[in-house]
Amino acid sequence: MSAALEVELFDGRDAAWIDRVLDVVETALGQPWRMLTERLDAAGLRVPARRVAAIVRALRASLGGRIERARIARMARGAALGMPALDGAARAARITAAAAELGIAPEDVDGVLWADIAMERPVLLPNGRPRAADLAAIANLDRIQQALRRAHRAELVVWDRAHELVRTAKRFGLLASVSRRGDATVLGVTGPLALFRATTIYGNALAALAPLLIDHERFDLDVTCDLRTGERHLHVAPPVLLPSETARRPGRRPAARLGGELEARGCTVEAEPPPLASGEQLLFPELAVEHRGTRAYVELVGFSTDEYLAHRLAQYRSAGIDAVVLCVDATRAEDDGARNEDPRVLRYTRTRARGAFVDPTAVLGAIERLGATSRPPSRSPGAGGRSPSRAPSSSRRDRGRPRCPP
Amino acid sequence: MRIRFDRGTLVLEPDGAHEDPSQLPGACWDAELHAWRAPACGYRELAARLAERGLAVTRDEVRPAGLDGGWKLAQARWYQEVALARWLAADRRGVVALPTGTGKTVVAIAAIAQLGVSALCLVPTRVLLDQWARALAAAWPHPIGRLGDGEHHLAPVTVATYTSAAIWAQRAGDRFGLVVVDEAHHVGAWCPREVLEMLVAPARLGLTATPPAPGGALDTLVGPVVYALAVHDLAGHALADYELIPVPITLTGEERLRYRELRRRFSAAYAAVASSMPHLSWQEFVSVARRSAGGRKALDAWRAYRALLAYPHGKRAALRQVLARHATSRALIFTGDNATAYAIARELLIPPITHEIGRLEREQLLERFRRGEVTALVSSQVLDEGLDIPDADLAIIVGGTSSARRQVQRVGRVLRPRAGKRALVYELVVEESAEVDYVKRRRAGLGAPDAPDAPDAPDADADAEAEAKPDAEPDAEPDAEPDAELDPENEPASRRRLPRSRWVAAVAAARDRRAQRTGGRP
Repeated sequence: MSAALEVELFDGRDAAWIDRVLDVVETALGQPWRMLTERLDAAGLRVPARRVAAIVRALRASLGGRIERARIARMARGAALGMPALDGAARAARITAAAAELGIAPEDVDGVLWADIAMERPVLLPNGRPRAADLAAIANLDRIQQALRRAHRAELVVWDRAHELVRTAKRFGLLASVSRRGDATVLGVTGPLALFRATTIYGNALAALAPLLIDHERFDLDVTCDLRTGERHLHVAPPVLLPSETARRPGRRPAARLGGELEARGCTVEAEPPPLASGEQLLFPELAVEHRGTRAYVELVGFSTDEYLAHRLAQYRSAGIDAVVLCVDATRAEDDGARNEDPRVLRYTRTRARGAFVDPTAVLGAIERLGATSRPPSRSPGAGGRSPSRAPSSSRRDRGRPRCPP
Repeated sequence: MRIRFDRGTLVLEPDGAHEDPSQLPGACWDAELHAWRAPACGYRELAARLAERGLAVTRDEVRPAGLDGGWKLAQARWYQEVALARWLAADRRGVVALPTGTGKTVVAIAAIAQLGVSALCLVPTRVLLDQWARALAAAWPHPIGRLGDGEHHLAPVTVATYTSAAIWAQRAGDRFGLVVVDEAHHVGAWCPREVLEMLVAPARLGLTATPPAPGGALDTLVGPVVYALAVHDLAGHALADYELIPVPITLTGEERLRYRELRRRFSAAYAAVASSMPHLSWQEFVSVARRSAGGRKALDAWRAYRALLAYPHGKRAALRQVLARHATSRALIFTGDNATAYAIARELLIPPITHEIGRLEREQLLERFRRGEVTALVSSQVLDEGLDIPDADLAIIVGGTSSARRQVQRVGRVLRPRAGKRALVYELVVEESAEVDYVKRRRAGLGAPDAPDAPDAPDADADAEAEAKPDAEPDAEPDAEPDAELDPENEPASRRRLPRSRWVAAVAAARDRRAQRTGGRP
């Protein structure tokens, strides 16, 4: 059993001192960030320095404008920097000339010269003073992600839809096992190399799951971290103040595109149907498609072996589903045609221009063949399968404001 | 047995019950994929073990491609030929250690040409990514792949930054028969060992000017040092001759008092911990110190006196004098930290080159430096390694740690040979301070028996500082820095007027607000 890792998150009780930090920030407007750091050190906040630093980091992250600032600073440096200005007169002349060229006051040159340099740039709040709760939410996410970046394994338990989590884990090439525990979904996530030894190489991919926690009213996140001092264990559960709009949600995915094309051909398509229980494991098909009286599930599979495909089909059978189409990435699949003759396995291609492309005609053909050989499955899975209740996601409703603890 | 590559590992699929992957080296059952996996870096050993057992590989999908010909190789110098021969003799695995500026790239390109297999070159920075891609393109008339700095193009010969390789090795780790690791001393730290674990490449070549001690990740994943030369082996021949000039710096009275006080505070706390735990490493000391208020104050004192030594009044004056004395030289100014680099840039309006300066701007600055429009650049670490600046002939070391490795890299920046060139290396050292000891230790890396002595004896408690191993501070500058150059627009000088921007407006507003508050006083 590894030792527990305590990650101190921020909540409503921190609002008072965060507001005091913001007061100090306002006194340092226009000064370099390093000077703000010194002022905060001297402010006597009676809060551990690491907590103040986390809030300052959150403030910096909330400001944005990186590209714009970089452009301005680069132009200013191009105008002002050059041969060494070894005395005050030479320096003043250079600054004046640069200011004239840039169309700003000479006193402002120093402010724009370093506008993209972390500790040298001036403290500015172009969007006004941020709310303490917003900074606390950003800092919380940062802290959880920091822990995940040092993790070699994470287990996430959620009580509502886990589709986005499962797909994000897949998209990052992680190994994700999804199982049931009571009415909860348990997602165990790690990476292939972690089978051999504890590695933090998947830390960034694991950290990408953290912003998705805002979608879940109730969750348990357990992280096994590899720190210099040894293996540590971190547990995070609500109430946690989290920012509402930080998850990078991918654009139109291959499954969504396929769903659209099937709908255009007259099929009834349900995107992200409820997961199917196969024993203790859960299956997350991308689509449920109804075509000419046959309702079939469609799942996109990345890397696969023959044994894996057979295992997957058996899992669907165990869930009471015969009508399933597994779409296998042709670039990552076994290409020995003799081995994969199952009509339920289709190949899809991946091109640089279009990304992954699943041929809708082939999918419809496969569903028709399945309809001809088996009875149409009912809407609800059979005896072996069970759909967990579909709890409404809070994510869409709650966007735009951090979720505060009760 | 079928061997396939998946996400940085090998997937082993037996053709029959008589083939048991569990007996193969490193094999492990993946319950998710329902398959046996083995580490990709164990491919060579795996293939050998299968051959020993008489097991046929019916489908081997990890077969790196061969390369087309048409190589135009530079004439190798004697030591480059010896280095390549030693590496080939060592079963195509190992590290070649040559001083900066002696053409390690030439050895690597010759190795790729000789083996004729697809190759991946790993480099630490985006600057080196460009340099390697250019060098390879000059030697081989086919497209060179690039991974990093916003480019994701794979080719039989590809250059990748360590950071990008950590992402791409999972996808393309089976495509290369040879991996070349530039600045190989970073393996296990800046270059995560997982990158090399996820690559199949049976042939591995490490290049460095400063090989680490044997037994680490580099040894395991690339191989031992197969050939090594130091600066003094080649100075005056393959490298320009140089002169190391120490410049003693005296603290002002006020600085001296402050330094002594800070030093006393730190040393007292350090000695107290060290007496109870004598074999504590620096990291362990920091870890212990952070747990108590007194310890944290000691660390604050340590940081404060380091900042004081980094750029005191005397160094400011000395730097101006040296630059004035060598106004026609191309100078590289090395500092101990970015804050000092920016302080110098701010004071003297010299362009800084740090990890926060984007690629486009760096390239423009280096081009201006080559053309002589800029005669000095200042940096804390980015200039240390791998930057190709043939005309630099003056190095001014304003500050740094005691790292001998870094000293070799820094001095190497000005040693690229040119007829009649004699490089000058000024080293600014604060007298009677911990810096004297740093300087002594870092000079050891040059291997020169006649390196001048430090200007003065170390102060009484320098030993404690030596034990403190300040080199253990993180020194890597990841290339995952903010992409400041995302905007490719390159404004001509005549159209540099700043655009309307909330940031420019905010700068002016902050200035007005400050003026109101202070009644116009600066």
